[in-house]
Amino acid sequence: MRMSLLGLILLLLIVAAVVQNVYVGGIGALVLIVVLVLFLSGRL
Amino acid sequence: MAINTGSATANPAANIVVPVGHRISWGAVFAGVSLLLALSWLLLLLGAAIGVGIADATDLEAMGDGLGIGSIIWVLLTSLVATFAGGLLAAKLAGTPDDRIGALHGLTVWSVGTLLIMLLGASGTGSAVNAISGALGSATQASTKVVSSATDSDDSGLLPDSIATSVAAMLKRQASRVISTTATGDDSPSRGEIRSAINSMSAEDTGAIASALVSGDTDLAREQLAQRSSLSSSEIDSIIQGAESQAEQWSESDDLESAENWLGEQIGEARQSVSQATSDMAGSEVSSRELNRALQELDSETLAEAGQYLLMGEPDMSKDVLVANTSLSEADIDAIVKGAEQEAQQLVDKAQAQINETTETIGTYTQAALWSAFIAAALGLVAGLVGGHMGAGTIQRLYATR
Repeated sequence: MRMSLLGLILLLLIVAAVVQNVYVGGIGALVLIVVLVLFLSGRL
Repeated sequence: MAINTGSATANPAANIVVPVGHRISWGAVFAGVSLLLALSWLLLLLGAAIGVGIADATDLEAMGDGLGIGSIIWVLLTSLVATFAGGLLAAKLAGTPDDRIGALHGLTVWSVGTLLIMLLGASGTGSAVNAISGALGSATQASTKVVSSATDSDDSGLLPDSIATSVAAMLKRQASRVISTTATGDDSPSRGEIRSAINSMSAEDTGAIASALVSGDTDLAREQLAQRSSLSSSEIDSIIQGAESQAEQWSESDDLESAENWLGEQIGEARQSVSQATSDMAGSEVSSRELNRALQELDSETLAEAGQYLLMGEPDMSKDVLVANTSLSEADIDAIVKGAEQEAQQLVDKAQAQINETTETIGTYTQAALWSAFIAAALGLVAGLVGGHMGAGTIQRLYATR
């Protein structure tokens, strides 16, 4: 679960960088922050 | 999963000792950060060697295309690989069996590494170890260069000094034309006096026009001749045609001096005919002494000051400067300023357009560099977490039990 979420974020960020798209990058960053908060609070 | 600590008790889970606090191994984190920086540097070198490095700040044309897809991919790859390896090493060296603690070690490696790269970037050495730091440094350097070159002049509103010099020269030429056409009288100036006055005005431009001719840029030379001399278009055409036939010889020897001499002769001949025509028009209003005095009064300081006001869009102030510092008549001054005003505006517009274009180029580059920096940092975070997770032991989760 944790690894697949990180994999998804990784993919989103790489796509955002290659196509230079702010929206895709923004969504990737948002999901990353949410996952990070969940991970640090022990819910993931 | 419960761990049997080896003591013989009825309830083994009750004797599990879970280390609380000091679960972070700073030695392992330090090792991870060292690996991160070293790998970043290694991959930066490799990127430069295989040609996917970042554009140089001096190459504005390359910067105009942004970072380039190869450079972006390389920056991301560097960040991913270096942080993953750093996190993996830190978690392994920490020797923790808990993959959560391992991932936290990876996260710490990423954060300490990012902090170090930021500090190195601020001290100016970041570009040596990190590709994205180099790209950002490059963008900052280029912006600084443009801003400093654009603000060299103090009062003329972000225009380079060369424009102010050109406007001063233009004012002088304009003054000469006006004085020459009004300098008519029995005691009229001699042909030689007028010729030397006109010649002295455009001497500074001959070198620039000769360079354009030697490099084969006849359009530029034609434009410069039209702008900086009082020659007619047919005279300019004949000079350019002559230059084209000579161009092969110049380019073979790369002899700028002979080109300059040739150009000087050609312009001299053309001017001689202009001077002849001007002298022939001589009437009875201004003496040669008055003409000489007027030209001498147009010293460089007065011209520079009047030029500055023209650049600032205040022709009235420019006229006031000429009135205060010369004995020219109001009508002459009006004619001088009116003639120079339009040319000055063209120069200002051209310089402004060039500055805007350069600023836009650097803006595109900086935007691409910042975007890549953000994505690379976020990818580094993920890679650190994954690396730490994978570097920890095989135990999925260690629960404390009483």
